[in-house]
Amino acid sequence: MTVSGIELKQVSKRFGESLIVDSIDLTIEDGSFTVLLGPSGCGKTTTLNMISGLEEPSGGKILFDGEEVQDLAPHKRDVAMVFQSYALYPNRTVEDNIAFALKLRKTPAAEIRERVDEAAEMLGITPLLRRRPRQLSGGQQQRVALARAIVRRPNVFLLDEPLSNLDAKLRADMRISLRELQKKLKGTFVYVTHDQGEAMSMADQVVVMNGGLVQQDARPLDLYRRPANRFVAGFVGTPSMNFITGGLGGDGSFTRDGLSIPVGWSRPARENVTLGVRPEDVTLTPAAEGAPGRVRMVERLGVEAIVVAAFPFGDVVARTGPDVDLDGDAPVTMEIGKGKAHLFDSGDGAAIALGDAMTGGRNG
Amino acid sequence: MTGRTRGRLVSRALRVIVVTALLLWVLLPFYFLLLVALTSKADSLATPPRWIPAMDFGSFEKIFDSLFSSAPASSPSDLIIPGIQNSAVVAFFVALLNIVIGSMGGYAFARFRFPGSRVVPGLLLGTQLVPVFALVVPFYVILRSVNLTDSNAGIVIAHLSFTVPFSVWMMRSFFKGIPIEVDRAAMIDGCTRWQVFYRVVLPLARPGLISVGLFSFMVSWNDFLFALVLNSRTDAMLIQPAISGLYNVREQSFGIMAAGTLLAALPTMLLALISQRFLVRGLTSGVGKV
Repeated sequence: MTVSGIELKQVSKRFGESLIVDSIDLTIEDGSFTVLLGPSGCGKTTTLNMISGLEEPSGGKILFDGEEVQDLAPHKRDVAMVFQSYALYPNRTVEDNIAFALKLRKTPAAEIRERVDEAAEMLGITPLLRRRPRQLSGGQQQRVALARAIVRRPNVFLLDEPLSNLDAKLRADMRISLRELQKKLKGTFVYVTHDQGEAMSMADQVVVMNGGLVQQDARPLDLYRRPANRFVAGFVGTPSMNFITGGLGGDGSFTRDGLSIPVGWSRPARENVTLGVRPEDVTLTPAAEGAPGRVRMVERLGVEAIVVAAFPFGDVVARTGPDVDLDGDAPVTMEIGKGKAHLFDSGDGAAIALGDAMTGGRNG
Repeated sequence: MTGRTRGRLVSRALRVIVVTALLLWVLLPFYFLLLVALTSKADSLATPPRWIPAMDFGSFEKIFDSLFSSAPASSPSDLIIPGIQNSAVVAFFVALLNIVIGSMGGYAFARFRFPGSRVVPGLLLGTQLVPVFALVVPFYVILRSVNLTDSNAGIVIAHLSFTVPFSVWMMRSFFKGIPIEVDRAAMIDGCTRWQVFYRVVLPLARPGLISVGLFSFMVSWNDFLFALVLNSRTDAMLIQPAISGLYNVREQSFGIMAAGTLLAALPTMLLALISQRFLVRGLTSGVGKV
């Protein structure tokens, strides 16, 4: 069956002894905004480079619209790419940087001018066309790199951490611009980042990678609500999910250090499970002296507050309203919202049960 | 006057003195050459020396005479102009081939991984430790066996053997200074490997190409030993042995020696002056922050 878009089948990449990408399968739909997300060294950039043709897979197949391309050189794949360092040609003007790909294809001069102008217009860099890259700010160079990509009107755009060299304000603006650009061009965007905020805010589809493997491939909210394993649960969301290791009693409660947290999960008792709960699903309530928890720190951030409390099983982070009535050292109890606890296998980290399968509980 | 301004004045005066001394050190011999070259034979050894040139162009005329006569060379001064011509051809091709081989080899070592790609650059530099004297006799034997002694081609090959390794090594450093993302962006833009090299990377490495060309031109032009041993026939003689020939004749003419030496030094001096501007411009308009 022919799939419109990009398909990776059992794709691997080996550099010498080390396996960087471990036979991954991936389908990227035509016209979607897909983010490859993961910590550095997880294989996401290598995967992108294999899609572009800059790296040759050690094994497996890559298909564009059903056709195998893994043996084609980059210039035969019709993909555009934006690099983290922008990689503009320093000796050429902005205009020549953008026009270079068209010149290589022997596009008529009049058409080149028209398309360069159009791309520059779209990215608001028309006044910069005569300048050279080193005369531009980071944000401007970024836009030139984008213009260089869109001027060719390829079907596939590959972006390798394009925003990581920009300051926070510009980064937030560019997220919106990029998403708008993708809608306008109706192209397939494959975007690599280690910033889960970027992934969540822009993507139609997020592919979380770690250790050369795809950990989960899902829509952003599904990723957040139904993480496939402990790695995804911990990587997505800030502050990250709280994890408590312990055992599961037959009565449907999670136990650790003599404490018992009902999670409404009635399955045979087992050891070695990890309870995961997001900070916004934890409520810390002031309690009498002798309660199991003790506040360590309160961060008042204006729109919300982050409270860190020490429990016998470790620290718990809670996200609350800004007017939290807790102070350092105050004794607290912990409550988990109904249906908000996740259970993971402590061994392989796989999800055993996700929040909506369970009822909430109270401890202390 | 405060102590501070006095200190500044003293340090400036010191700087002027040092720079002047250095200039004299470098330029005085040249001035002396010029003096002797422009003085008639009788005056050239006068004591005290005459500090103002006599503007007697006789020595230069004698050297340039060979240009206008078709008679075979009869005195060492007749070998200067042919020597310059031969050396120019040899040095030009040595420089050209160094640029071509140096850039291609340097690019390969900078960008590709293949067996030896890490070890060989070190060995290339290591070849510079071998004294060139050790190579003269082997080269003579080899080139004579293929009939390339007394030919420009033979001496070009000899000069390449000890300039190319350094050129490759130098170009490799230059290419390593260009971010690999630039190559990758060019490939994505539609360049073949070859187009990446000559349309994108090579223009960025222009300061390196100029340095390599200049370096190898000068080494070739200034070589005496190989030129003397490999090209001994008068019509194949290069400039350096031709100059030394002037110093060996019975009727010594200091004027002709000086004039010939000046003519021999001129091309490299001019080349250095011209390319210096390109070098500086090339460096400043170069990669910078990419």
